[in-house]
Amino acid sequence: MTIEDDVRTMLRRRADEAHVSDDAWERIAARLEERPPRQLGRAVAAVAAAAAAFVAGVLVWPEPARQVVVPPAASTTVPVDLPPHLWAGEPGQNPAEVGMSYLRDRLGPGSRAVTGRPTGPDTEVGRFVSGSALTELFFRQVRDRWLLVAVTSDLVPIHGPRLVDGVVEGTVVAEAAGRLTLNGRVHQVRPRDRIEVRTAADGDRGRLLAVLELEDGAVALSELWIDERDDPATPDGGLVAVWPATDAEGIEALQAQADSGERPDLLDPRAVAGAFLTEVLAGSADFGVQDLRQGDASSGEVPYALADGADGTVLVRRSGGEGSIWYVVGATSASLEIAELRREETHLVADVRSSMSGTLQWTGAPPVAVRSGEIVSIGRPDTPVGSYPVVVRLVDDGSTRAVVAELSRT
Amino acid sequence: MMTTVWEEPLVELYRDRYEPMVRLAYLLTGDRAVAEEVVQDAFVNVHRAWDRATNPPAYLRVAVVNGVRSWGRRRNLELVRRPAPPDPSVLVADEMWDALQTLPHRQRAAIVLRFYEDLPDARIAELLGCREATVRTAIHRGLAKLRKEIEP
Repeated sequence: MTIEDDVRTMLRRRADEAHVSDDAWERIAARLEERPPRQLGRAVAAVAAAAAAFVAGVLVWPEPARQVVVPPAASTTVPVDLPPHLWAGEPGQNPAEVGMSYLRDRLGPGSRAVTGRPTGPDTEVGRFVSGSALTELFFRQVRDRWLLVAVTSDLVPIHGPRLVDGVVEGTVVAEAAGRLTLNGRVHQVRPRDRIEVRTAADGDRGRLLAVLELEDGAVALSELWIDERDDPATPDGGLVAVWPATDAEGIEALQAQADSGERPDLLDPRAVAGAFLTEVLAGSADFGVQDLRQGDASSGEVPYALADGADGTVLVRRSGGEGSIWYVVGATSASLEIAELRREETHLVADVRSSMSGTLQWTGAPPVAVRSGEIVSIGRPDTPVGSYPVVVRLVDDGSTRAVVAELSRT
Repeated sequence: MMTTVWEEPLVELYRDRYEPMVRLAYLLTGDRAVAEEVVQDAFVNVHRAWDRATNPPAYLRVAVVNGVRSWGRRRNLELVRRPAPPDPSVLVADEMWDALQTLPHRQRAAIVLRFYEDLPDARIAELLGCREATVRTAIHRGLAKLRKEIEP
């Protein structure tokens, strides 16, 4: 044998002595957590959650993880009656696939991953980690499709999005140095640079897309869809209702529909309360509504009872007398109460008191477990819109036990 | 509510390449614990550079080799201050293995990459950041030292 053969034999024998720890992936995940993305607030938790998901997929889950099949970049079969969205998946695609397809369209080809979790019966929040940057993707399910409705990163937040006279306006703040592409225009930015954007809307709708490429190669992005009619609210306020619209313009538009005979249901406060509960509960509980208990000519309460016996009240109002549509301004429950609503730097946070145990759910926020008698905080990113209705459900064993809703008072 | 797990390319890379890379790192360092540590650091680096890495497995191997080199430098500094105790894994009598531990990093890496990974000179040169001729020289000198150690 030659010396080369001896070396080969020795190396192969010695390589077999190498040791792979059972907790190897957990240790990698821990190191990822030691170097968190530069998302403010919940970044570490997000990475930890992603790491935990990886661990589950590699070491614990008995079934192999799914392959992500990246679909074509553009869909030509999206129905026209879907609500406003940034990106629509094909029927049957999961949010990960929708998110991957969206990222491929906005950022170009590349190896990426989207992790996420459900936040409600028809909502999920996805997380895209690019090096040191974290971007959150908000999904909503409509019929058989998942829609991507908002994308936010605290590294490149969009403030004050609005659509005025056919022009989309907003302010983008770069939280790190890099190359900012804002609706197609490139800016070299330093930390805390503020870039004002004004761009023509597409009719009564518009989009703001901000992509920040950091100096270390990481990418963060925010994208919002702004609709002149349906925009739920702006940071300047104007929030008047929880449902079926949230601002005065939306209510006026619905009033016009009622006046033309298209929406006679909105003239019936009991029907309005029932429709609100149907949407909020999303099949997670049966309920029955009672007749309106009218306060004055333009306001009242609609009591309701859930199938398991819990009850509550839907607060309704109308802007005028007979012929004016009713809208929901809040919902109360004997079991659930929003003790305080506050705006933190990047999140809107609700302190919720519950007299029952279960899980609190608020669209866009991670679910929070609560025990009877506790007050717990639940928060969601405040970037997509500056102000919006707060609707929190208490869920136990898959059923909604209580609902509380109110207008943001912050 | 159960967390949704979506396939992550890094996980796939881990499944495919973690153990082979630990073996490579062990041959390069001679230390089981350090080998795992280096490979885990390499995975973190790959994760951070994922968007730029056109070939993640190749990037991973580069990160491992570089990680071993960095570890070697740190160890040399420590050895200057305080001689390290022998690793229990090298107490088993194996003259060639022992001799491999004494080779300079470039010679040792060149030998391992050639005779364990079966890489061509050009690829080894890329990994070590040197010319192909330097690779051939390193292998020649390394083998000569090993031969000398095992000769009766």
